[in-house]
Amino acid sequence: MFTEKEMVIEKLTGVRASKKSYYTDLKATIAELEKKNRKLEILSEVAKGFQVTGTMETSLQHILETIYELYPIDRVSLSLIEQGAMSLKSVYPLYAEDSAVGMHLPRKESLYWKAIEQNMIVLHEWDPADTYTFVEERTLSALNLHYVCVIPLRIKASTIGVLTFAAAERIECDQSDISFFRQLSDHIAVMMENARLYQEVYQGRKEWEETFQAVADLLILTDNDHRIVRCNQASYSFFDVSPEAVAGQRCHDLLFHDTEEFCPIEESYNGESMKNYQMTLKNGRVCDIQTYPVRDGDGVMKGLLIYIKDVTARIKTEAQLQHSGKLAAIGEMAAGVAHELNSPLTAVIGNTQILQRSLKEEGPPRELAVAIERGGRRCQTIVQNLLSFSRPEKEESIECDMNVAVEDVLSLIGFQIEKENIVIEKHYSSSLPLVKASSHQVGQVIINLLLNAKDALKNSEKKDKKIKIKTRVVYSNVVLEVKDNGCGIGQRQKASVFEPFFTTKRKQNGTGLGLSVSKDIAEKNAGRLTFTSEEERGSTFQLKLPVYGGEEKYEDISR
Amino acid sequence: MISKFMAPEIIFGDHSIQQTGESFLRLGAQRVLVVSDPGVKEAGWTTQAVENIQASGLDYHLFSNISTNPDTNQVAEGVEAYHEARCDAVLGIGGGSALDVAKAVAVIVSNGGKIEEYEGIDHIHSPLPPVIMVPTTAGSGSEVSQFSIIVDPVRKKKMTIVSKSLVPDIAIVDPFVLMTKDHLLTAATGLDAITHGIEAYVSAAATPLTDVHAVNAMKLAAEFLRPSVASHTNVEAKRAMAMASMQAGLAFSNAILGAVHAMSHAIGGRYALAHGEINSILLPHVMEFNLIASPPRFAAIGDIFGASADGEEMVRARHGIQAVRALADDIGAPKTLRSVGLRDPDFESMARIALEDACMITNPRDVALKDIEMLFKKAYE
Ligand SMILES: Nc1ncnc2c1ncn2[C@@H]1O[C@H](COP(=O)(O)OP(=O)(O)OP(=O)(O)O)[C@@H](O)[C@H]1O
Ligand SMILES: [Fe+2]
Ligand SMILES: [Mg+2]
Repeated sequence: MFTEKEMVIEKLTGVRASKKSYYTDLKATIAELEKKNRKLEILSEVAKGFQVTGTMETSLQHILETIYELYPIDRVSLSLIEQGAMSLKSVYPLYAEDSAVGMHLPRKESLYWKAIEQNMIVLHEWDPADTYTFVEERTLSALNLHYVCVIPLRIKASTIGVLTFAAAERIECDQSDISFFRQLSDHIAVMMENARLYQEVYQGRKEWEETFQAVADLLILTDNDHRIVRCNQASYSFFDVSPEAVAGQRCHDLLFHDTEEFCPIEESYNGESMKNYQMTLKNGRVCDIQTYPVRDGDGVMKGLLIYIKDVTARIKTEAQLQHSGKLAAIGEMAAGVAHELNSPLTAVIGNTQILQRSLKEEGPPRELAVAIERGGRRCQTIVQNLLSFSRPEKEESIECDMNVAVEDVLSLIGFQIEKENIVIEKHYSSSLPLVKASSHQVGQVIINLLLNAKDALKNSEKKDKKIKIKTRVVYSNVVLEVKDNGCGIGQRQKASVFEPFFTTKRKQNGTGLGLSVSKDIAEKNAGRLTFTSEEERGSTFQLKLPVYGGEEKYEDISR
Repeated sequence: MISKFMAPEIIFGDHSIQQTGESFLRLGAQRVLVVSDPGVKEAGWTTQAVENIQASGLDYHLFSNISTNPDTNQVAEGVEAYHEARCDAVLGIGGGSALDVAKAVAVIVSNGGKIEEYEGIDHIHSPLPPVIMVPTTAGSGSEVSQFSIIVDPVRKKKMTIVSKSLVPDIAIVDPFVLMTKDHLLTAATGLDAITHGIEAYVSAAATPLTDVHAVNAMKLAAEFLRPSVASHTNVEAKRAMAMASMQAGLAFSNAILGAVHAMSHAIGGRYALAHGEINSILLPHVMEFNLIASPPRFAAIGDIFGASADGEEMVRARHGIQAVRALADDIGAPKTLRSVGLRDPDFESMARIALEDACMITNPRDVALKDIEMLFKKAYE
C-alpha cells in the first residue's frame, strides 16, 4: 500500500514523465511514413513482377519474396471460386508433402470461405494440439504452419477467391498492416483480372489469326501506299514467296507483271467502297479480286484488304463448255447436213455401181462411172469424219494415230486454208506410234492450231504463205509441229496467249479460248503444248503427247 | 529523494498581454484558436489579445462558448472549431475554465479521440500544438500547471487530467487584466490560490523547490488578498495576487494537492459552484484534520497568515487555521456548504468519488471514506 502510494506520487510529480516532444513525434511519424513508403514500393514491385502470361506460381513466388522483408511468410496460396465452388489453385513454395493444390474447399468447414462470407481479412492462429475447426488447419499443420492470414480478393463488387499467407508463428499485424493487405489484395485482384482479360483478348486474336491463316483464298492487307502489311498462308504458297520477301512490297509487284505500270487496282485505294475485279495474275491464274477499304477507329481509311480467289479452274471449265458449245453447234448443223447427204450419196454410189455393171465393156463411159463412185465414196468418208468429229463417241478411244488425226482434220478444213493461198506442207513420220489420247480431243487441238496458223497468215502480205505440219517421235513422245510464217506473236503478248479469253481477233469473233482449251487437253493427257514465235516471221506450236504404253518403254530406256 | 520541477516559459509584468502575438510567432504558429469565456471577452481582454495576434501577422479563430465548470461537450466543440478553422496553435485566455478547455482541446487535436480517454495520470501520447495561456483571474494557476479539470456530465464528475504535456509552452501573466474582476470573483479565486499554496506546502510530495513558491504565494496572498478584493484598481495588490496565484500554481503543479481539492472536485461534478468558494469552505476543516500530519508546517502557515507569533507548534498551527478562516471571513466568503445551496447532498457517494481523486494521493494524512464523509458533514453545517 505504501509503495503503491509512492508510485502514484512519483507518477503525479512526473519524475519519470516528460512533456511530449515534437521531435520524437516527428521521428515516429517519419518512421511510419517510411514504412508506408516501403509498402507502396512493395505494392508497385508486386505489380511489376506480376506476369500476365506467366504461371500463377511465378507470380505468387514473386509476391512472397517481395513482402518477405515486412512479413516473414512461409507459404502463399491462391484459391479461386468457380461456379460457386472454391478450390486451391496454386501455392508457393510447393513442398512435396503439400497436398493442397486442387483441393476442394467445402463451404462449411472452410476458414477461407468464412473470410469471403464476412468479407474481411481474417487472421487466424490455432494450437495444433487442439482439434481442428477448419480443413485448412489440417493442411497447414501438416506443413508445421500454425498461423494464416486470409485475404478475400475482390473485383468490383464480387469476390473471386482468397489470397493467403501462412507462417509457422503469429505475425504481428496492426491496422496499417491490414490496410496494406487490403491494398495488396486489391492490386492482385486487378492484376488477375487484367491477366484474364489479356488472355481473352489474346485468345480472340489468336482465333482470328488462325481463321485468317486457314482461309483457302488469298487475303492480303496493305497500307495506303500499297505496301503489304500482312498476308495469309495461302498467299505465300500461291505466289511461292516467303513472308520476309513480301513484307513491304507493293501489292501490284506481288500480284501483277509489270512493275512500272500503274497499279491495276489503284482505283480501290481512292474509292471508299468495296470493288470487284477479275484479272489474270503474274502466275497466269485468273482470279476474282475483291478489295475492302480498312478503316481505323475514326473511320479514316488506313489500308486495303485484298481478297483473291483463284477461279482459273472454273473459267477453264466454262471456256471448255463454251468452246465445245461452239463446236457442238457447228457439229449439229454438220451432222444434219451429213445425214441428209448420206442417203443421196448412198443412192449415187449404188446407182453408179449398177451403172457400172450395165456397162460391161471398158471404155470412157465406164471410167466415168468408176470416177463417180470414187468421188461418192470420198464424199462418204468426209461425211463420216464430220459426223464422228462433231459427235464425240460415247466411249472415248484412248489411242490415236496422230497422222490420221491430222488427215481427218485436213479433210474438213484443208479447203478453207488453201482458199487463202496457203500451201500446206506435210512431213509425216512413217513409223509413228499411237499416242495415249482420244482422237477426238487431239483433233480439236489440231483444228485450233491450224486455224490459228491460217489466221496468222491471212492478214499477212507475204507471198509464200506456208503451213508446215510435221510429226515425229522424240523419246517416248510423239511431237506434232505446226509451223507458219505468219505475223508471229509480239513480245508482250507471249505470256498471255494461253490465258483464257486472250485474243487479238476481237473483230473476227475470236473467243480467245482455243489455245487455253488446247493446252488444257494436252496437259490432261500428260502432254505439253508449247510454242516459239518471232514477230513478223512466224510461229511454231508443238503438241507433245506420250506414246501409248510408252511410259514403260521410257522407263526401260532410262534403266 | 529525487524530485522534479516543471514550469513553462513565464512572461510576467504589466501589459504583458501585448506579448501574445510575438510569442505565437516564435512558436511558429500561423492560425491560433483563441479559447475564451464570455466575461473576459466583454472585459475587452480577448480583443486585445486577438488584435495583438493579428498585429503579428497571424490569423485566429475565436471560440468563446465556455461556462464555469466546462464539460466534455465544450471540449468537443472547441476541437471541431480548431479543425474547421485549420488552426495550428491554441491560446487560452480567461479564468481557470477557459484555460482548462484550451488545454483539453489541444490534447484532442493532436491525440485524437475523446477527452474522457485521457482522464488520470499521464495518458497523453502525442505532443500538443503550441499552447499559450493568459490567465485573467488570479487563482487557478492553470497557466503553469500540468492539470486540466473537465466535467463529465454523464458521470457527473470533474475529471482530473494530469500530464507534463499539459504544461503550456508559455504563460503570460499580466496583473493589469485582473483589474476588471469584481470583488466576489477576486475573493473566490484568491481563496483558490491560497488553498493551492497551503495544500502544496503540506503535500506529501512537496519539495524544496515547490516550498519556495508555496510559501511566497501564501505570503503574498496573506498580505494582498484583502486589498485586492477591496479595490479593483489597486495595482500593487493585483501584481501581488497575480504572482501569488502563479507561484501557487507552480507549487501545486509539482507537489500536487490534497483532500480539499479531491473533495471540491467531487462537489463540483454535481453542483455548478465557484471552485474557490467551495475550497475556502472546506479548507479550515481539512486543515484541522491534517494538522497532526505536519505540525511544523501548519505552524509555519500560521506564522505566514499572521497568527500570534509565539508559542508551541500546535498552538501556532491552530491559530493559523483561525487566521485563514478570518481572511475568508473578511473578504465575505461563504462559511458552509449549506449556505452556497447544496440541496440534499449524497455525501457518501461524493466521498467515494473524492477518495478516488488523484489529488487525494498527496494528502499528508491518510484518509478513509468515513473521514471524508465526516469532513463533508462538518463543512455542511
Ligand atoms: N500461229 C499464231 N500466230 C500468231 N498469233 C497466234 C498464233 N496462234 C495464236 N496466236 C495468238 O494467240 C491468241 C489466242 O489464240 P486462241 O486460239 O486462244 O484464240 P483465238 O484464235 O483468238 O480465238 P478462237 O480460237 O476462238 O478463234 C490469238 O488471238 C493470237 O493473237
Ligand atoms: Fe498496287
Ligand atoms: Mg484460235
